[in-house]
Amino acid sequence: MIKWIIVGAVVLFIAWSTWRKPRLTGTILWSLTATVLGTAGLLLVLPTAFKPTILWTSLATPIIWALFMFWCYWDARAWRPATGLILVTLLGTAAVIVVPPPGA
Amino acid sequence: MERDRRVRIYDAHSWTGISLGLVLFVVCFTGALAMFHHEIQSWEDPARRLAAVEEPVPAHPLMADFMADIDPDAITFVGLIYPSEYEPYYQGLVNVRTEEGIDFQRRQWDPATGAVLPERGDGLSTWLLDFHRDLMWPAALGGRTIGRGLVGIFGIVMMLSIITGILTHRKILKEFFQFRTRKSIRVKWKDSHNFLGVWTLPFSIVIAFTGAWLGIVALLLPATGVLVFKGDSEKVLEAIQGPPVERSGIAAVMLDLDDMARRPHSDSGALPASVFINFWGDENAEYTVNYEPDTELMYYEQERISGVTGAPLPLTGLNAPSPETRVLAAVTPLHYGTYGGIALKLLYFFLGIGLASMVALGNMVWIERRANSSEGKRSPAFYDRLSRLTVGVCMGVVVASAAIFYADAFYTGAEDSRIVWIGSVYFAVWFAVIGYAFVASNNYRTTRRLLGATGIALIGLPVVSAIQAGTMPWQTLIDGHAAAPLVDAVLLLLGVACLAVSSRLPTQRGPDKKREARRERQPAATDVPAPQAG
Repeated sequence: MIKWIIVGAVVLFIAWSTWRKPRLTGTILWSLTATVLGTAGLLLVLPTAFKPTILWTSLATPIIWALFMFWCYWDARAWRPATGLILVTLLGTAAVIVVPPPGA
Repeated sequence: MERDRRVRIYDAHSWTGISLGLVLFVVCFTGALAMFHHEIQSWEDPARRLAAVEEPVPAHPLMADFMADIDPDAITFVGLIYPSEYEPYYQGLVNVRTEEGIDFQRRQWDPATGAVLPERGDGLSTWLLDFHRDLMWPAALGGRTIGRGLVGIFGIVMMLSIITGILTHRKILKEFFQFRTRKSIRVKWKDSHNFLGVWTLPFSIVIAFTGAWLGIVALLLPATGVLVFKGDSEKVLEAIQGPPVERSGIAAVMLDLDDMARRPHSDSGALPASVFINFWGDENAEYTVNYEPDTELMYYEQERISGVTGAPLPLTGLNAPSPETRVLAAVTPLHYGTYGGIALKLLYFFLGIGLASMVALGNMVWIERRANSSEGKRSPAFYDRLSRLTVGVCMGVVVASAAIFYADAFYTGAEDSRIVWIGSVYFAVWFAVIGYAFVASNNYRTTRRLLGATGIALIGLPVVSAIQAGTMPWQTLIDGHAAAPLVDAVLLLLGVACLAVSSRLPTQRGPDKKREARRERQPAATDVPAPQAG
């Protein structure tokens, strides 16, 4: 029960901070989730061999993450990057849940 | 670029600097020192400066003796490093799996006699390297992987700061050469920040990217793999490293490690620097032979052979030749500047110090602008505290780094505790300097005094080194050990540079010339005619 209360509080805090400060929350949180889950989703969806793809995406990770952060401040509309990053996170999550792992 | 966007980008540049600037300074400064890890190893321990040997004693019996008492099933890794210019002795390394985790064991032998060299605990050089790599993050808080990940995140923030910095500075070409020495302190700091930023830009980009990758890869690569394989971490390893080879359980005689030392690389003809061994004493044993690359962007060139028959085996996993593993192999040499000899290391060192100074100056400009103009929204006391914290943290890490050279040289306790002693001195000095910055009369004097003290301390270090070794640096150089005298020379030069810079620093904030000029232009109150009534 306590675990769910903590999880609920964290989710509420993230929702509140995204609502109040979309640019800052996008930079600190959503850029990271979008990078990790977006990369995982790409690895599952791309029809390329797993090993070279994960190594290339690992090399690209710092650049993708920094560019996602940068996008949060580049875009004139505060909500657009935050929405985009949440969308990438959700799509990546969906791919992780739905697509079977390589070689399965 | 439209004004609103420029303001937002400038804000992003500012908050990355103010929120993480001090940590970035620490990481950059310690990184500049970490580059000389190998050279400092030779400097810190005169007992390791052995004479080069034409005919070394066989290493194989020494290694066999080292591992005789260790359960073969518990051994996860065996390595033998052959004598080299910087480390002129045999080094045997064994990782043993225990209930508490992996136990790292090391033994070193004199190649002339085969005598075991006295064990020296991890000290100065280890601290300088590991504090940069993982902040010596305590096991109680998640261990080194977390520390390394944090340093990687600082690298990402640095990348963001570089991108926003480039866009913020619109007159980037002008800033290549702009250095207005006769202007106010804020303009001087701003020019220095911009000047260093522009001149170190290619280096900053390389360091930020490679540092970020080296830091976060240990956290994010497994995390991504585990997500892809729905939580099965063994499958991730298998997909990257290839199917695991198991111990056969059949004892076998190992290939002679001294024969390995004479085994040239199939292409370059270079002789091995080290051999890493899997399954020592087993029929499935494998030797990975590491060769020094010839100033290429990689740490080692490798060949893999059977440890029993010597038959060549294909390189697998991250060692398999492919474009992506070749690029990955270049990351570490690019970050630590190991691909171009000592001259490149020195260039990296000065660029690293420049980068650290640029970060500190950026913070000082931000504070100065707010503390002494209407731009600041907080109280003057707030900016004063922030300014003192910046000086304390930045100068603290500089003084503490000099102090641990002395701490290591004069340490007389148990070798196991050497690193604890070094860490204690490091943090004690660092916190003492931060405290001093808060109680001192002003930041200008604090910086001047601390830089002067650091200069004197650095100049004293070659003397300490000579007394400790019992030989003069030039004698060490004649004996064929260039690393320690090089460290002495760099310390001496840095000491003189610190004293020279310290003597030129102001002792207090100068008058705001622009404000004074404005005041002079305004007529005095008595000169203004009184308004006429009616």
